[in-house]
Amino acid sequence: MKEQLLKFENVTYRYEDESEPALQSVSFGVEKGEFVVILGHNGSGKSTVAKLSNSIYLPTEGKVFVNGMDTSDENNEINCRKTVGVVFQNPDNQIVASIVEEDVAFGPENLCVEQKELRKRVDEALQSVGMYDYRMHETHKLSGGQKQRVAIAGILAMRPQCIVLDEPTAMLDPKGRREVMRAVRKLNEEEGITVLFITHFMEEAVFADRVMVMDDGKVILDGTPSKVFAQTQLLKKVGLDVPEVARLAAALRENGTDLGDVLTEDAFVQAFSRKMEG
Amino acid sequence: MAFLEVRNACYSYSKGTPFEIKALDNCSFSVEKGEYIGVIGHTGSGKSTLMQLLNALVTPDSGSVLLDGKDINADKKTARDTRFRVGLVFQYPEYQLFEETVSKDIAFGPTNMGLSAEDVHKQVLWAAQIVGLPDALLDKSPFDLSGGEKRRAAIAGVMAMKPEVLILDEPAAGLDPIGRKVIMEMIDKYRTSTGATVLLVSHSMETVAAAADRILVLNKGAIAMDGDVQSVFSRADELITMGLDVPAVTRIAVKLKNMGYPVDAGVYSVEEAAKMLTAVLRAKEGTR
Amino acid sequence: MIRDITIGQYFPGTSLIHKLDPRVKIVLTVLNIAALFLCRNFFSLLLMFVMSVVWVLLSRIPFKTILKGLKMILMILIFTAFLQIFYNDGGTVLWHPVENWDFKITTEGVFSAIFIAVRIVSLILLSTLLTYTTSPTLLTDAIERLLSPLKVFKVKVHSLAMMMTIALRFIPTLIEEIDIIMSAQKARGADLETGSLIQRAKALVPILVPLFVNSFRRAYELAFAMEARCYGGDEKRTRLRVMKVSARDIVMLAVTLVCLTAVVVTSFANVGGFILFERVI
Repeated sequence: MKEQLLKFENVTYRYEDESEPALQSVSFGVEKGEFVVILGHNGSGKSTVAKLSNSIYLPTEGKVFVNGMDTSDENNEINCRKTVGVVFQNPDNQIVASIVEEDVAFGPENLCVEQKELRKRVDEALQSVGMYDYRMHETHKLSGGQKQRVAIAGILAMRPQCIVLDEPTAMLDPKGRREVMRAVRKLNEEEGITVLFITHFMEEAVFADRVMVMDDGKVILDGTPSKVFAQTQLLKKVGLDVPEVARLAAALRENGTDLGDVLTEDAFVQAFSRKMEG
Repeated sequence: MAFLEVRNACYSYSKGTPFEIKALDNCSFSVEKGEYIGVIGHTGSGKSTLMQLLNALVTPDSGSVLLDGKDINADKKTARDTRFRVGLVFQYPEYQLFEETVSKDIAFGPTNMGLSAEDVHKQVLWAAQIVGLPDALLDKSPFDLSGGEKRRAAIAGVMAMKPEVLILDEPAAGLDPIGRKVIMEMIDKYRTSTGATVLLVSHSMETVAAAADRILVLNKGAIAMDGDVQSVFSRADELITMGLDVPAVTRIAVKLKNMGYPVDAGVYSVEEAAKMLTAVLRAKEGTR
Repeated sequence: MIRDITIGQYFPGTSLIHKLDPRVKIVLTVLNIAALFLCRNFFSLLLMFVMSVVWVLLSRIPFKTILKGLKMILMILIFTAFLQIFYNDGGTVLWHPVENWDFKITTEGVFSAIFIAVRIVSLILLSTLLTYTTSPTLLTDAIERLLSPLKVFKVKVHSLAMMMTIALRFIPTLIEEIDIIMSAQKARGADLETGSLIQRAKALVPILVPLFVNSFRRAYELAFAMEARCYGGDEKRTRLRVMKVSARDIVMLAVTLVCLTAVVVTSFANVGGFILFERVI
């Protein structure tokens, strides 16, 4: 088994004034280099996972480990946050500085990275998300997708091993959503950064190595996208949907044509043309 | 005479400065009573400006907007009265809640209309029922509601004015599939019980195609397409070039068509696409 | 429209003024403004005005932008100039419409009106130029360094500077938000323009309440985001931009000091001064 970068062990989390816990005895691990998507409707507890993963919240019961470090140990706080970076939902409320490159520098500045290295990290992080040409722009004039990519660069500049994204596309238009997805996939594929991506858009889960579905503070499904999206009934029951392409493939299967496990548009087109030719 | 008509409207922001942005460029269209229209376009296409034009929040630099044949910007009073007849729900309307209780917040619009206390109360209860807010929530502070409930309360605040035209800007933004469905059902309920015209502004062709009868496509401040859902989708490849988000099944159909298969590229629902593709496969098998 | 406000904006660039060490820039701006108030005759004022214009030219900020900023204070300018005309009755009488009235326009009144107008314009040029050419982060960083001696008196200089950075960052966001909330409440029939003073104040409630509620939500989320990025309120954080006083700073400082000396000398010795304005000061 590969090394587990992030590990939740029977984690329960209760918000102060709530009777029901937001998370109920949740256990899972994320391996190095994996791309994991957490799906769930609003209030399923999926966003609580994000804040628990770098010791912003501490579990009420159970333990969270980052690279083997217990997040509830105060001495590990900075190291946990350096290892696991979190990007939040609202792009406007996580940008600290008025100029793009100054915002990206905020994290490493806090880590007291010395100037020469700092410059390098900021430039590289901006290049990774394709925002280098905007480095001197004012942050408030960017589009939603651009702001969110700046936020990702701000985390990247701290050189984390894992990035947790808490519904980073929920407030974006389709173009912004595509930009962010492309940037995140590139980080995972080319730079080997472990990704935990929290969303309620089914289409964003099809590229993942693994999908977890949450409901009522529990993980109710955990597996490859094709395995998870085969559970049409269960997903419907917890207020989620199956991606359109998978629905189309299922409808064709009912009509007597089995295209196999297809979740993406390209896979569908290929499978279909094979049927037509063969 | 059309019910609501926009004639050659132009509008620019920061006019006369180096930062001038042309938001609307010679827009003309008309809307009849009871129509359900989807308005799509990417960010910056002029959608939001167009919506504010229809209820006199934005006055056109040139051209005019007519409601029942009368210019809505004729004078201040007409402009204000228009706002009660053409209700506009902004994006993320829950961020505009302000009253002590939900019912008081919903009552804000009807009270501004000058209705009697009794009528205001009646309309508040009516709107709360349309959006499905239980009575128990009406005396709570709007800030104690859940995210979805807040959104519904805010939409009720516009519906309570019983506008003849209801415009909603991306009403389901940020919601999960169930939340989105609930909002769409609310809009249907409002339409059937009032016979109002609805304009649904969205990025998502999918949502619009499923709900509306007619689609307006905005591109660079101008109306690029105006027609029923079928005819707009028959130009799917143009929609994609404009950077719009067409349903995945449409994209698949366009790709297959470009590969030379005899498919109809204008499909937009999964059921329809499945039927069409099965027929294409059967026909192919038949020739073998 | 509310979105057209340019005060406090920053226009990125690479001009000499942009590149000055922000600490030096602040000190120079303060010195220039002080000198502006020391001017006692037209010669010294002219010197200061020319200097302000030279600064604008050096910054390569388009004149259109500068003029737009000045437009905002046009009313104040006219008003003060107007007052000066009537409050001065020295010099030759130019116009005295009613014999027994105290009201008359004199040469000294006209001169002092012009004097005041030029002084205000120069003042605005110099101070807006500081924010136009310095990014808010650098500006607050520089203020933090300049104020750092105050730490001896237990003043939390770093926290103050951080607060300023965040405030400057959120001003445009909040302006946009006010705009949206106002439109949304107007769409529900809110009347912000008519009625008595009390009615108008009441009409602001539907705008201010959401604005405050949303700001608190923003603050809460921003705090999480800052924590996630390891912010600990530590003064020892490093900075992307190192501030270094370079040759150009020294040169600018020297040039400015020479000019300032000239201003002071011409002012007090009345060199080249054809009219002395003791009262204007």
